[in-house]
Amino acid sequence: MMPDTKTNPWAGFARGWFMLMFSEELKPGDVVPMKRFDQELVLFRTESGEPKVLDAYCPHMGAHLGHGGKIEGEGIVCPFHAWKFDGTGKCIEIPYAKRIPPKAAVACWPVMERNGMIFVWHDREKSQPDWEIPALEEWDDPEFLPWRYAKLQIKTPPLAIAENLADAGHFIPVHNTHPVPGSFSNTYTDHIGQQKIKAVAYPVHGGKDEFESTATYYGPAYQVTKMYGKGLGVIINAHTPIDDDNVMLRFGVSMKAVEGMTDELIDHFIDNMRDGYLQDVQIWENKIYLDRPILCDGDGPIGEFRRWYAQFYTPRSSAADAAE
Amino acid sequence: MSKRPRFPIPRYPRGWFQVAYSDELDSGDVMPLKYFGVEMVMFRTEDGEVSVLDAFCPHMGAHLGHGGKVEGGGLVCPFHAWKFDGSGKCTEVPYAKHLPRKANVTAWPVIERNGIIMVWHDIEGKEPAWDIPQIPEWNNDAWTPYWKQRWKLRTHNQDMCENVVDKAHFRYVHGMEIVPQPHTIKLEYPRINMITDALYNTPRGDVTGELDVEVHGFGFSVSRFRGIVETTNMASVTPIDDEYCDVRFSFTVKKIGGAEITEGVGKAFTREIARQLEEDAPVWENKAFFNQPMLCDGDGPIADFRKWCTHFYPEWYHKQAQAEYDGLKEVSKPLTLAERRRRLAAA
Repeated sequence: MMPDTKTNPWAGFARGWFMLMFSEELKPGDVVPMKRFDQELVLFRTESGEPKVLDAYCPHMGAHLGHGGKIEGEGIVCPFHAWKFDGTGKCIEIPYAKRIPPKAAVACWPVMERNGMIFVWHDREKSQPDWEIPALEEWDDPEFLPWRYAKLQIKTPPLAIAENLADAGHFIPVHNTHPVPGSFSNTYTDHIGQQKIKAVAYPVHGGKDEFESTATYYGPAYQVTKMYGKGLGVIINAHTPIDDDNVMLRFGVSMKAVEGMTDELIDHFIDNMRDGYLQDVQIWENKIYLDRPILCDGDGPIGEFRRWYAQFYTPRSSAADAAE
Repeated sequence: MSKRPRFPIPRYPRGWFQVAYSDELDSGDVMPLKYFGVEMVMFRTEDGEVSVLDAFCPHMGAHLGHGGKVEGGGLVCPFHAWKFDGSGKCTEVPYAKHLPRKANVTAWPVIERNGIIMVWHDIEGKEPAWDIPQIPEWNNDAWTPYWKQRWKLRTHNQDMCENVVDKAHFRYVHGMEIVPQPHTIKLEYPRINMITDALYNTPRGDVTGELDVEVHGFGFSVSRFRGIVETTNMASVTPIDDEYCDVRFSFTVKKIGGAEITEGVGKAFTREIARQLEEDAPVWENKAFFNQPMLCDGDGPIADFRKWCTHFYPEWYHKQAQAEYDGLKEVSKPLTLAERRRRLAAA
């Protein structure tokens, strides 16, 4: 059942794993302030190398731990009065006080570091994760070229980005990519949504690429695309909401280094990837959301996609009620 | 999505607030100002009187601060030459036989003292409730002229003022060796007086001294450092709009030995205090404000300070600020100052 259509059904933020950064962006001892899910967060890596995410504001006098906070061992020290919090958010030291107020703590977010990426689990109901980001075998495969990363802030709700998964009709007008008739399909299982397609692309920077691709969303915001064309290309696309109007999209690209592959070809592939995204971005930034789009026979399974995607916005308590 | 305020407390407290230095405004000068989210115009008449008015001419809306001219004791609008006196009353419309009776702009109470021009702000438009003292160091041959420093900070008057009683931060933000322990703290609306003993390690041995801080509302404070040298800092904080404050420090040093020594010592001291402010700034600009901070046994009298603060805003203003912060939709927009004054006059 679709959520109530009178109000925005996608208000609030989805449940699932969201990428905050690529691992290499955060070295031991680094502290980064971040606004995600319309909340201020602090992301840091302890001296032993553990990434941690906490609510940003010190419960004492409200300083933002991400602006001037320092890593000491496995904890973070507030820049204002040097209260120290461990990776679970508990206050473990106040250098000038005899006793620590027992409730002195900040909320701690579940974190997972995998495939060279740092993910955080978001759920309005504060549940614990019930699935994991799967290991990506190409990630540390020596035959794959070093990963290239980029990030892009986009003014759009996350649905607009994710819905591309089911949007068979946009390939020709937006990307000048021509699907082989009958090759487009979607499958949706639990938190995994997958698109398969065969197509001929006439990319921005010229040439003609025949390819077959599998694009898989694990949860609402992390997608792995494998493209089999002149070589095997792997693309990571992860978007994380900043607030109600903006998302931060990070993407990573790598290719299998097959014989005869030149730097030129790799650059060409990557440029096409990036600029292919920019074609989508232009649409995303300016489109509106239609709760009841007028669909035609050549469109993909938009309705099916939205029903799948709605699970991430449905509170678990009401999902359980519905199942009963 | 409408933008929610950053603080759950009222933005614009009652009090005297610096808008300029005296030496920035000569006779005949006109200067546009923006403070408290309000466009204003300041001018000095040929007799030397300073006036501050709301900026927009009630006739056709011209900004009196952009092209307005001083003529005798009044300010002439650049658009149709309507003339206003220092009380904001229209005294002349050169091409009209009759002056519209209601042709005037709101005037702000002004004092010029200690080389500083200040206006009185009260969200309900009430008259000044206290005075700013003469500072004996000002215009005194034994003391130097001001060394001035100025910052635009994303902060709130009350949040910044809280630093005064927040003794623990001196150690952890400013690297003092110990948490200072004031021996006197007096919080009596609208003033705070706090005195802390200080010990300076110098090459010639330890020197005792003290820091004496006098707060006059959220807009103005005087800090006197005694010990090695005598230095006084007049600190003023004036809210610009819903985000930013205009912060000015004016230092004066008691002359010692030759002018060169005084200048050397004074500048070193000025730099040190300015450095301290720049250590505070990133905390202030990014912090949240909690109505219920989680305090510990070593903290200063934060709760007493917060109680003292409540006197600077009327009760309805507290409620409105909290409701806006909570994102409650039924909150009405704050009235403009001019509207408040009109209602008050009518009542």
